Amino acid sequence: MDNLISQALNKAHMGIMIVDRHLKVVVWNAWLERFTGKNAEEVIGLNLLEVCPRFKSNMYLNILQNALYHGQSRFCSSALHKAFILPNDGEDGQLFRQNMHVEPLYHEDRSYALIQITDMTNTNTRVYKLKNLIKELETEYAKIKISEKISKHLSLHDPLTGLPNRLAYNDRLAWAISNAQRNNSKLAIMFVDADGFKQVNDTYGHHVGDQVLLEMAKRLSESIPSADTVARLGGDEFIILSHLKDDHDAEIIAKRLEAAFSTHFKIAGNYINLSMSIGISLFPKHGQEPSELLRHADGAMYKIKKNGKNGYGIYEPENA
Amino acid sequence: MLNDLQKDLLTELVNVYVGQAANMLSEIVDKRIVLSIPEVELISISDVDPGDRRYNIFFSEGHLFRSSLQFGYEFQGKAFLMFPVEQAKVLANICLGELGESVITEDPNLMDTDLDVLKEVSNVLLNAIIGEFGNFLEIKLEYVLPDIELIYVTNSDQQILLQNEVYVLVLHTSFLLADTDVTGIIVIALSMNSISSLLAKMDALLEGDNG
Repeated sequence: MDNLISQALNKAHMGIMIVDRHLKVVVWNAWLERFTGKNAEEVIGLNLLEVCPRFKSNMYLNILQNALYHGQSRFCSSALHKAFILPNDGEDGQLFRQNMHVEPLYHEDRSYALIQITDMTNTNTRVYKLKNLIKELETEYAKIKISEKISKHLSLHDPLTGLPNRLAYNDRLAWAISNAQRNNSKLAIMFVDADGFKQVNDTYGHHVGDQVLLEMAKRLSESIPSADTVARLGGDEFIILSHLKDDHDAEIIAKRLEAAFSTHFKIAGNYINLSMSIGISLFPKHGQEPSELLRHADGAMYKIKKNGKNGYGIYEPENA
Repeated sequence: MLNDLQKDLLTELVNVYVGQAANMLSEIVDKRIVLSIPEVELISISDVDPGDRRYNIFFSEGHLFRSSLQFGYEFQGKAFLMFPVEQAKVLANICLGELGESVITEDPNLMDTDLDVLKEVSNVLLNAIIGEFGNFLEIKLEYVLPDIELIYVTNSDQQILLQNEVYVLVLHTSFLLADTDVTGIIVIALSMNSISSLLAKMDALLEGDNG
């Protein structure tokens, strides 16, 4: 039986040693022989502190004393302690990682400490690789989130003015209509088109034209309540979605827009006068569907253009 | 269940025990660790008020790190150390010297090495408390290494955590280290006989003091 137990100890994939109350080594298995190059015959009977100098530290002596005298079991993690048993051939102890279990043993009224050493070097290496991989993935994930945000912004906004584009406007209009239907509230859809913008581009060039569009976007945004939306459909066409208390409020806003464009634009040393033609349709008065309301606002705007530009007009169903 | 004098004595005793554990941990991780148990209670889990914030850990859903150590025979029971997983991760990071952004991580990835660190921390802490209770009662205790596990607690099974244990000694634990405050809970489930012997020993000590 003793032979069977000693075979088992020698086959174990961990270092197993037993020390007595005087810290004399009683058992030293084959794993320890292979790892340290010290044979059981030369180690058994020696003091543990001579064989494994790391145990000289107070911390480890206390652990052994607690096991031998107070029956305490202790676990020491390789992440905090690195290695307890070092190889004999001068290899760097920093390269090794070992977990240690210390347990009390009792035999014939004597107490012993069982010390089990598990080699964690490969596990730790894998853990650190995995940790780095997780960090990399987290960084990548953060980058992807940012680019998703950017592309979502780009797909819904006009690159020149930063205003919502046609897609975003359609979405907001549909949402505003369904909301207004539920709350019984009113909306105005205003088509805004600059008069003679083509001439500005032809006279001063596209660079100045772009600056004019930026200034237009700014003046439109500043002229409407903050809860309302101004979007750029393309070219010099803008559209405004306004929440109204009463249908008459649409005219107040239209007058404010006219006033906003009554002063000239000063771009790159040029004074440019630009008027606006504004067509307005009202929800629910002129329709329930976004496309219908947009069509009516567009029609009202063309009527202004046809009748001499520079002004606003509300859609009139009887003449449509 | 505990009168004021017993509560004071037990709090003082436990604080001495965890103070020793804190010194040991400080030596291991080479950082100053202050461990305190502001309050000790002996209660029945069924009497715990779910609205009492100190017992959040019993009643909130989520991932929990739990380490448990069974001890016997004359003073018999099971001790648990519990942290929400995020707190356990902070504790492991600090012990490993990995401070910084990962300390406030919202997604705690507890790796093998972290679990080993937590196993050692709970080993030191539970050893100190249970071992010293043994010394206090002049009883030789036998116990092995703590088991550690990560569990997910749902609303329905919070009570199962401690079922079959009639009375528990609850130690509200707070680790103060490196500008962080990690709070967990130590629960020691004791058999009725063990509670009686603990109370008898404390009363004897208190009477001695008064006399």
